[in-house]
Amino acid sequence: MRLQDNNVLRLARVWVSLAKISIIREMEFRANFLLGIIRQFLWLLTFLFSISVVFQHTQALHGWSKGEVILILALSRLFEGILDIAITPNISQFPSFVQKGSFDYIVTKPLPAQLYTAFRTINIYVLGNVMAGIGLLVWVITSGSIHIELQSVPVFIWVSSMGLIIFYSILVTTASLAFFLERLEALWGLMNLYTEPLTVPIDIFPRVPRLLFTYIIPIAFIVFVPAQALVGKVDWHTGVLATGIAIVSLTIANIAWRTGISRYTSASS
Amino acid sequence: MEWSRLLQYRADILLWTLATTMSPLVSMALWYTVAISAGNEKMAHTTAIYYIFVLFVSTATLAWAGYFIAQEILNGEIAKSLMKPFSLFWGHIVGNIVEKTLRFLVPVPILIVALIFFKDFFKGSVLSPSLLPLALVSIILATCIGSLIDISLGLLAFWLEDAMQIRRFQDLLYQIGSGILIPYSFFPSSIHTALSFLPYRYIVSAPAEMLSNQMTTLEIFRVLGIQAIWVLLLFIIVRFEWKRGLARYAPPG
Repeated sequence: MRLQDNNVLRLARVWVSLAKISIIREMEFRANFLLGIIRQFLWLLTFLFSISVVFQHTQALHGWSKGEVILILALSRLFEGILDIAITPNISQFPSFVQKGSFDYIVTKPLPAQLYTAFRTINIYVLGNVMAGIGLLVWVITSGSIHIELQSVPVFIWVSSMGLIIFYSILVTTASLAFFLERLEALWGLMNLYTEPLTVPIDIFPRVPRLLFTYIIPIAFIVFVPAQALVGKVDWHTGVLATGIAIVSLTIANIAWRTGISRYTSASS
Repeated sequence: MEWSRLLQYRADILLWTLATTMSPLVSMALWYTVAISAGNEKMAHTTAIYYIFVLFVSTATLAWAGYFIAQEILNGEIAKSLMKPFSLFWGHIVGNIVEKTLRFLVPVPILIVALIFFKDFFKGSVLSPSLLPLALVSIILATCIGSLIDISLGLLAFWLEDAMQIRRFQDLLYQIGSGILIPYSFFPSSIHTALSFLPYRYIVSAPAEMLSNQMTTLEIFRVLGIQAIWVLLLFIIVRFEWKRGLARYAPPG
């Protein structure tokens, strides 16, 4: 017997209502929201300043031109921003639910627990990053600082979606650690660990971290590979590789989640 | 007592430290590549060594007491600490030192690995042993500057409901001013000068520049002097805030 009716339409409706509630709540703290946006723009300026300093010393960063490095920055703001709006803050709170036992309220809901944990609220607080990412992307394309072939666009869209799936899988896999450690307040710090290298071309790293970021913790596929795809630096092989890694990551994430949830015993027992 | 409290959180603290290590490591790869692309191998080596010391110095000088002091002020818990027979700052200082010993488990192995595998890098690019005590003094002064800034921001909670926002903004200044995001040797000279008027350079960059042999003996003494002035200035500010703040404080509840 199926207890839950998990068709996509129903889940989407639930998500929209949850999203509405979060936005209403966020708008009660408008000053905070505005200050957040200002801060995100200041960070963007800092990164742009950093790039301008880089290119005062050299013409190309490991083969990447100034426009291409700005493209990487733009995509990192955009993709990180999307995840930050929809998923990351929810997952960061999850370890404290497991520790306190309030995860009980999540497993007993008539919804898939993993999806509810990840998509529970939306956080428009970081909208500034998404706006900055889109703005910068439009600017870098229209100003002619990078050259884009039309046939690169579908490859770009494909590897970007794979990148988002990989990003989601990495977050879920990491969060599942909370089931085993029972205390993982540093999860938020771990997220930093994953997002920090997104703003630079991954090929500036020495061989070992580069391989690590490609195959073990495949964050290279979140920003770097999509950027390569857009400027025509990769062929279809990479698309296939990205798809394969996305499937493997998502499978690992689900195995980790399921093994973890079966160990969950609530706080009182 | 601090030790046993700390050991319960050991996995958390190591992960946190690892996470804070990431930003200097990414910057290291970036600026090393820039120097290599510019054809300046010596600068590349200096940059790599600079960042290894940055990891070390930033761990040593990290401060977080202000965050907890702000929270205690806001929720009234501070009243309890005020009744204890010793200043609440001592508790934070002991906690800070104890936690740092654990945090060093991340940068110290990195330093050792670097020393073994990249011996040539360090040749002639590390401060001579005779000047090492000066660098140590500089790190201690840097820790004082970092902690005093942190506490002075925390004490703002006496006046402001939302002292946390200011912390997030100052984090930006810290990342740029401390030389973690961009080393001072890469800054255009006007910005180099402008940023040297802020205290942040003297928390991380200055001791790391010293250790990676980027300063003459004269410059080292000048930096030590500036650091001492900042410590004094910030100490006066913190004392002033504390007295004024306590005088007007009415714990909630």
